[in-house]
Amino acid sequence: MTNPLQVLIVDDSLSMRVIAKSFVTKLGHEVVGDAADGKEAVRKYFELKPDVVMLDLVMPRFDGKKTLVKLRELDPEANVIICSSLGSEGDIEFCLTNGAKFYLQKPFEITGVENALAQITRPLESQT
Amino acid sequence: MSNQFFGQYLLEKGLLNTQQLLTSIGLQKEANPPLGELAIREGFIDEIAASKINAEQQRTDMRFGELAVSMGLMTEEQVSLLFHTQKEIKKFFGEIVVEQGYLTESQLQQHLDAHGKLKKLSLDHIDSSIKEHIYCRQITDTLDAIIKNFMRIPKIHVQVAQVEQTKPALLNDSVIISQTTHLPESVKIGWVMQRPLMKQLATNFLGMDVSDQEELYIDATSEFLNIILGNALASQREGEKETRLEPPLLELPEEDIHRDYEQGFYLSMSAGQDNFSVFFMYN
Repeated sequence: MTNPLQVLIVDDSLSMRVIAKSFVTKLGHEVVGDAADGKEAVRKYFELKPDVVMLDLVMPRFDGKKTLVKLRELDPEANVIICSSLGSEGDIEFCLTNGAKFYLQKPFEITGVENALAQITRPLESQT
Repeated sequence: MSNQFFGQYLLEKGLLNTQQLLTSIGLQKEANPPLGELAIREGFIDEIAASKINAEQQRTDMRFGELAVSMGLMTEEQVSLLFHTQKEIKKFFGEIVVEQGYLTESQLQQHLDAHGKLKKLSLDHIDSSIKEHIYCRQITDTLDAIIKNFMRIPKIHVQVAQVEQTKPALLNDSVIISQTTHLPESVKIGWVMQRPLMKQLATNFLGMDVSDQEELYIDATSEFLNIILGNALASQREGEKETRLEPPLLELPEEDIHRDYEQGFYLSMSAGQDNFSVFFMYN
């Protein structure tokens, strides 16, 4: 087990936040906060400074694609993992070219979340 | 789950990294140009004609080749020559992954088998009124995704019963959830599901007993519908047509169903001992 990551979960669905939280915790990482839409996600990102954001795409008001672009624009180092029920080549290509570190298609399993989080290295770890 | 894009499957299995996935998607696009692009390349039409056909295509359900012929911009022979060329140069995602050295032939075969384990829903079992429907593809892809996801997530076996020509009576203690997908035109899809089935679905989905937490089991059911539609959209691969999904709307007012029923229909489905209806509306 590498250093535990601090994770921000963004999903408009309460049940998906529950599932994601349980997987992240089981894998030994810490959920530092959650958000139900993109605007709240951007605000919480700068407030909580998590190592990684698990981001849904289909959300009301400010959706996941806009949130991804906004987060990466404000912090080019932001680590974002997309968690979406959408999974067309176009969606995947858009998110990966806009800086997402991984793309998980719902329904995801714990091994998928593990693979996704394994892509993220804490800045502190890379310095040591 | 065979309605998952194979590249996404390989990414999640850790067999491709994101850069390799992006490279493969790019190469696949090059090897599978849309008919319009090929027609320009062959000199059959120019870009202006192609954009005229594309614009017209947004308004109809016709394919590029059919439209080009009906608009007098290409001959049938030219279109069939393009189809032939398209077939000749077409490459499957798996071929590209092997060519790039990301997987060996035997690894590819092994993962194609695992990925395709669940067969696509056969149209033989679908009512003829759906086969002729302009949204047949969307409807059958959705039914396919419903059946697979029920088996995969809540471990409930589901069977499509029949198309209801008249609106079925609402079952006691049922909840309605709807979601809109924006295909060329909007299609709204919803559940009318009995509460006990909803509780069972949510409990299996979340891995914990939530039968006394109404907010959670209703939310889990609507998210489940969201996943189904997302998976169904992913299987359609209609790159040229913009598709998007709107977040689920809980407890759609019953009068909305009555109002829209003229432009929609119900499907009865059964899961174990329970029956439920899926309704499709479009506008």
